[in-house]
Amino acid sequence: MISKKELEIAYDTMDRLIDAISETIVGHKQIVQQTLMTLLCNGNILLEGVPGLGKTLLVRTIASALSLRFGRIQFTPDLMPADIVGTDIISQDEDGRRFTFSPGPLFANVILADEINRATPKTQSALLEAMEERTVTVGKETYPLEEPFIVLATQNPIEMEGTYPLPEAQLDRFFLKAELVSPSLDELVRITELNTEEQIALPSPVASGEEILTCRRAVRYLPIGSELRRYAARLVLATHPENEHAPQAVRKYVEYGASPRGAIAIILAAKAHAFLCKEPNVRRVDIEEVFLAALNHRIIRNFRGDAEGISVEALLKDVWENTTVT
Amino acid sequence: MNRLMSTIHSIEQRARTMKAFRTASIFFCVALIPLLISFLLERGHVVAVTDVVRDALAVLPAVVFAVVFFVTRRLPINLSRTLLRIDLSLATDERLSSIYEVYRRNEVGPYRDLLEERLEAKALSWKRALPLGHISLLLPAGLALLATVLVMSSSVPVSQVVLSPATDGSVTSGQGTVSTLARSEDRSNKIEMESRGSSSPEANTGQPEHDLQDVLGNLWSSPSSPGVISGDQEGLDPLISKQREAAQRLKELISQIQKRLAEGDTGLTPEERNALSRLAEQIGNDSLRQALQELASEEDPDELQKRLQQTQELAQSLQEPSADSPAHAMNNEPSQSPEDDQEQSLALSSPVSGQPDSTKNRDTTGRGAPSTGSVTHGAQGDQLQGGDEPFGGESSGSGSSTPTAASPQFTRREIVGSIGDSGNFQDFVTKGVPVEEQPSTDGGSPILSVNYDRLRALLTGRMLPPGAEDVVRTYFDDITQGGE
Repeated sequence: MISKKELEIAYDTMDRLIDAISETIVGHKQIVQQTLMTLLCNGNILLEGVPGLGKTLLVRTIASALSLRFGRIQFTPDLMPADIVGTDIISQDEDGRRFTFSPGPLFANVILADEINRATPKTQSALLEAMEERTVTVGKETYPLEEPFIVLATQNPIEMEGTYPLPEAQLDRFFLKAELVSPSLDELVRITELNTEEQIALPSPVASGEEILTCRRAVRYLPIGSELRRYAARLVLATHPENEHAPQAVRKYVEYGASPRGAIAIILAAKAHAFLCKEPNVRRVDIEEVFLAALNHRIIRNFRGDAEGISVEALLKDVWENTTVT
Repeated sequence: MNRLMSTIHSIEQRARTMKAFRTASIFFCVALIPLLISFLLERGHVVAVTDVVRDALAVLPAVVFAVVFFVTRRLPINLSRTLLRIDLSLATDERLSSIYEVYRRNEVGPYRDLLEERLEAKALSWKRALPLGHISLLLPAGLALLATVLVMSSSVPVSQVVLSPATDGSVTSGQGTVSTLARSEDRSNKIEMESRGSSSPEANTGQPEHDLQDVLGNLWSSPSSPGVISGDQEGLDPLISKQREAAQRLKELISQIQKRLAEGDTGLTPEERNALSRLAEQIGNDSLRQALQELASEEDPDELQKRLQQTQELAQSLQEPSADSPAHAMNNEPSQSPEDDQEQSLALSSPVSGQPDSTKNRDTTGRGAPSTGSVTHGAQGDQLQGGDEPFGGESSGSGSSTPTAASPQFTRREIVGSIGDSGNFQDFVTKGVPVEEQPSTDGGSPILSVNYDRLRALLTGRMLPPGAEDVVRTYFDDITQGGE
């Protein structure tokens, strides 16, 4: 159980973190919020957007503000799994030669997996264990990753040639998928000011890993009504074409619906959203805010849906509108 | 228990009550269906519903409502859902359902404090979030009102529903309604009122009772077997009693007139004439009826005295007890004397009794004696006045009836034959019944039988209530030992 003092610390930590990020990142409030929610829920986030929208800067800013170890992996087609998880190398000391493990960039708190879809599936799969189990196995040895741990992967929706779309199993391990949109006019003006007139300064660390863990505990204990929990579960089940409550569009265009991870993601993300709003409980609006981001990478369309260009977002909106709260 | 807990408890109680009310309302509506169906079936002459059944069906919805309400009230409800609905209705950011979850898990901590603080800061008018709903209230109320109206209307006697007074004072009889005949109590009361009314001038302004319907109504609602027409003596008692009472009142009226004439008056008053005419309508004996009609129209004081005397003597003879009672007649025992026949004819002029009429002054074609009274009966009234028309004539409004396609003419004939050891066939069969005879193979008495098809056609054409056919059939089965 979390104490009142811990809750105050958690609220204060989030305030400081959001302020620090806001000084560097112009706009993208929703993306920042979703990234922090992922951080608070011990998840991983997939950031999707065209080049130049500030994906990498966002990740670097968050890592900088958190005073956590930051690791960056630029995914390329020739990137090998050992390049990210590390490998055993022969080392020599006074006792002689022996194999010692050299950790890869994955051994950090905040991982930026830049353009993750450019690596081969083999390399992409090297992230699976780290993302889900928070461990890395090399040879016969399994190494735990330090908490907090978060993978922030980016991918470019265009220039698909020479890319390897993420396998469904890996996509499902991303807590949220956030799509970056172009900044507004004012935001773009501010971005140009920051980048042309002064040196971009990454924020100083404002939150420790311990404080982030306190925030995570505060999120976990945030109450949610049992009927809202059932509501979230019904939302997820409604994405399954074989479900009796699935909308007609889902039955027509969806091959596979969201997994139970989707329901977990909705509720946890809703809790994190309510926490960021300093609400003492989860509200329906919290679920609404995270619904798309939590499920839009977990729905697999069928051939007909692909052929007719039905977007997953449209399908999820249909699900949302056709699922009643009570 | 803090204030929020007591609020949640109150919400739970109200939600239980509402759920119980809604559920009970549904069951109430369902329980009304048998009542409405019975009403429709009764109105459609499909079945006859007894008072007991009708009362039970009327009480059933209320009983069902009460039982379902109290049972459902005790069942658990999904309080989380109820609270969430209230949250959504009152826009309380789902705090009620969340705090309920916190209480249910017995959690303590800053979130509980925050929730309580924010909920208590906002005055919760949660009762408006739990409305009963118009449908829940209006639908059962409307149906209950409808059922009440139907039940009330179904309890109105047929004489008030079917019979309507004509502008000229005559009464036109509509189709015989079996369902309304079932109201035995109303009918008995009606008979009584009618009997009383015949001796008072005020009775002339009322509606004359339809004797056949009275008898059938009493038979129909016989206590021994409700809804089934009985052919026993018990069902005929009211009519017998009525006839005797009429004779008694006639005697009293004549005495009253004689006394007044003895005091110096020279004629009848209009009230007395009306009363006599009224009594003539109810007397089955043709001689007495004719005497009464002539007496009512007599203007000459001398002739009036004579007619009074004759009428009194005739009425006196009817007052005397007879060994050959109607019940006796029902047992197929023949009359022993003309006097007995006459008395029997007065006492039992209803065709249901199947009693033959000893009077010989009219034919058997269904034409009754012309009615000279101010009130004329329709189809079934004629036969009652005549006492010799077993199933009534057509409704002509003139006191006479003419055969129709549905009522084929029957030629009077002498039928020779006997029924078992009981006696002469003619003494039992009411004239007009389609009796057929076939020569006996051994040269003895002809074989007599009743053609039921023709009889049914006759009964149908005369608008006899369906249930009464069984009485007729049973009667002829008895007297012909099975018939065809």
